[in-house]
Amino acid sequence: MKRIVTLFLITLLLLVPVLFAQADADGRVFTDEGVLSDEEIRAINARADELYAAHGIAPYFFFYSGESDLIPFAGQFADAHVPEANAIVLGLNSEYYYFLKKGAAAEAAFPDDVCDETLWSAFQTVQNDPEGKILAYLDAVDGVLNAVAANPTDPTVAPTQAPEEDPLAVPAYIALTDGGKPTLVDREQLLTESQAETLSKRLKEIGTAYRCDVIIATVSSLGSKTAEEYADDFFDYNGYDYGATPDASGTTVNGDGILLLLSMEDRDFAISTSGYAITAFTDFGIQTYLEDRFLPYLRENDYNGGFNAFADGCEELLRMAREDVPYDCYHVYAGENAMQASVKAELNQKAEQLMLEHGVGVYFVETADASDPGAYLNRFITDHVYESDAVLFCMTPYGYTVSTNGGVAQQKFTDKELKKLDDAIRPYYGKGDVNGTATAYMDYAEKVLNKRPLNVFALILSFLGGGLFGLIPVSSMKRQLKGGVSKNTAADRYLEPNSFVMTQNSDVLLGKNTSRSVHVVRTDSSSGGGRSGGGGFHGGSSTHTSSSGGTHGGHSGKF
Amino acid sequence: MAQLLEYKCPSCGASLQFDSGSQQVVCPYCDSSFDPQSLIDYDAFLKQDAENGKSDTWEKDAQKWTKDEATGLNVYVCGACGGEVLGDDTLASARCPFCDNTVIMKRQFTGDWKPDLVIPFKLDREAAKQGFRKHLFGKKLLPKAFRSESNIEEIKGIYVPFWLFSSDVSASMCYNATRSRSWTDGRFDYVETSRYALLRAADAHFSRIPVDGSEKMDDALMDSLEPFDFSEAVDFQTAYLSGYFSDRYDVNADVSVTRAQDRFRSTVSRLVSQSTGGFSSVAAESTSISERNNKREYALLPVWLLHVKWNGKLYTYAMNGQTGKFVGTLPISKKRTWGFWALYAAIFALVLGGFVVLGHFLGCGGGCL
Repeated sequence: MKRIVTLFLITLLLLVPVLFAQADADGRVFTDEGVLSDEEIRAINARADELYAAHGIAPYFFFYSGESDLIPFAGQFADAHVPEANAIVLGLNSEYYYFLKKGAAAEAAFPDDVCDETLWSAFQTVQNDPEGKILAYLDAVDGVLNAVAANPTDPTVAPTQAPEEDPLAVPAYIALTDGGKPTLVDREQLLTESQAETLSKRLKEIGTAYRCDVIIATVSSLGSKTAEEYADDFFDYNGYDYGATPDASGTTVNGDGILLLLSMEDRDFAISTSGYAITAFTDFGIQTYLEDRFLPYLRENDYNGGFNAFADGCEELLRMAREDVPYDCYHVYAGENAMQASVKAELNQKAEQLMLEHGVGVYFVETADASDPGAYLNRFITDHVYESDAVLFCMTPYGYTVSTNGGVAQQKFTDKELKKLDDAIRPYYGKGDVNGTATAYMDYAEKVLNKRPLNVFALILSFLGGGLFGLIPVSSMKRQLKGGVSKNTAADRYLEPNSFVMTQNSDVLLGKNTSRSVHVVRTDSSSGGGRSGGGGFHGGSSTHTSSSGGTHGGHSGKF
Repeated sequence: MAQLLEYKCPSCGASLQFDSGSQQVVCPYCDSSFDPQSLIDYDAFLKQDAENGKSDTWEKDAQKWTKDEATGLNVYVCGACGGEVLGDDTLASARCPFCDNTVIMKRQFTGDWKPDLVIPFKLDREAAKQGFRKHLFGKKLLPKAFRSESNIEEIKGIYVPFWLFSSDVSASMCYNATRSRSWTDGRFDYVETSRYALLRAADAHFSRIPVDGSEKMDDALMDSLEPFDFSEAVDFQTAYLSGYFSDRYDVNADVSVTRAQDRFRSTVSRLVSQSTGGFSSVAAESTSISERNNKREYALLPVWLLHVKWNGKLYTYAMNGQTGKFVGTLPISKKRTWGFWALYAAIFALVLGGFVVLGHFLGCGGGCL
């Protein structure tokens, strides 16, 4: 009974903020009952309306004495009571305050430091007068918005604007993306005119063909940003939004594109991907496929070679992504309908483990494209198999093909083993069970890879050891034949019992000396092996959010 | 002029023999047995009687010793049958090869040569033969033919001359020793080494360390017969020698004593050094060992000697005539040695190889070895 009452009370408590919010559904100020009189509420609402009419940003205030978390509550509040596109909300509970900014304009006008230093301190300076406090806050909002209107280039309004006047000022021979932006922004002039022209045309072609911009930019320094931030901002604030479309919620998503940024000051590079490029360029694709191609050139200061290699790599990865599946560290490729996601993930993990242990890639490919399995497999190997040794199992609706690639794989997966593999998968394969076939195949590959040749050296060693150990019993037999004949060297037997008496037993300390040496602290440094193949990658692309709120993938480093 | 001593049976006049089983002197012909002491008294009485009766003593005089310079052998004439008995300088008692009479050469037991003690034989010839058979038992590398074909050429009960040395030994020894301890204060590691002089002195009493005094006997073989139980030793009486061979010593006590000294010195040093534990290093610096109240005794100890001929070679075995301890080196069969080695090598190799194969199937690829 007690429990039911408690539950009931909790439910009531949860409803409280919603209840009070609904009470004054049309105003811009919300408090617990009794804090403000109706008259005061009207005055504050009038002031708030005035500000909204002047600046297009609606100020809100709420206070509640409940205990639920302020920030989620503020979110709920904004959803329920703030219809305007741009608004600033000051929320309070008995312990904390929180500023919620809605819309880009509010976001730009009220950075965190302005909220804290201007708005909150104005609210705080008035004592013991709720109405006065809220009006002081509204005045502060008015002040800030007036200042923004008077000085639109204020750094607080556009904090992330590129430092140069026109960051995209490029010579006329540079080809533009389909979105009308330069494909190559070589501010450091690392390329000659003709190289730049050729390269930019090539970048444009790739971008058009695969509907994904490929952009290269070089700058002298990163300022105070990291390479990743700089690359993201360069992409976001310079309008590379080819293919940008409003998403379901009405906000614009980033364009599809990949950007290679070089900063020559500290030889930083960064790759930023956006939109479809995040899908096409996986972490594994960028860090093992792409970087392996262009970084060697950059290290040798061959920028033309490096950029062209980058372009080639991008084209390859885009082609794979558009035509087939993105290049990734996966070993198991099957249609979503054909294989359960959990089985796929598990088998991928197992395949990666096998690759790390044995250096042999174990691939399972399921495809409906059965026109020419051999050709399909060859193309698949060129595109997706990054190990030099691999075994592939290709399952089509009409049959399966097993292919071994590289010396080690061919040595391990002999014809005899493949025959046994056939027996192992038959029960599943016959029923068209992709999950079962793939699992049986992976298990069998694991068994084959874990087979080791008998250690001949250890066997020889054990025979030698046997010969040596054999000497032990034989030598003891030999001792028997000595027949107990030996000279006596001691006379213990003839010592009269209790006749041995120590008459002196003293230890005389002659001296001490102390030496010292520097105390060395030993720490076990168990350094893990270097990354090889797909180790450390878990497939897909990891993303982060840039300063403008856009989502990006990519990677950065030094060259 | 050597005197040959023999005891006649008071009943039938035949030569008497000492019987190890009953510890009595017995007559092999009329089965009479006599206590050795009473026989000695009887003998003394007879002698006195003979002197009193001025009877002829030719019997003793009849024994003539001539020295054969060329061979170093002595020839004496058996008192019973008159046959010639050959013996070296040290021969003290023997049997006449013609009449099997025991002859004891009195001269070998007089003056310095008079033994202080004797341990009488307790085990007989049969026991010695049995001892030999037991000695062969369980010797896997013994040539098979040795068991069947070996011939015991000769079994001799011999009283072997031993020197027994007793002494109070005082040892004083000095060792250099170090002890170290180490600690750290976080910045430095410290090692403190303390050097000590360990002064040790000890007294010990050793009694009756036996050292054989016969040149002919192999030292190691005689050493191996130890221990003898000296509580069963009795004052020397020639009567105990009846029926056995015996030698007199030909290695001087002054020479033999060094072997005894080596032995008790090594024991004393070892016992003293046991008191030097608890140091990180100990090295002997000086040792001085002195002996006081030295006493040496001359004893005849019972030994059965067996000479075995096999494959043209002569093997000598010895058995303690008191305790039955049997010693002596046996021949080794090369064929059997290799055979057993091959057998054991194969077993061990199979076991080790089995581990390798097992390890292979358990997945460690023989790396566990």
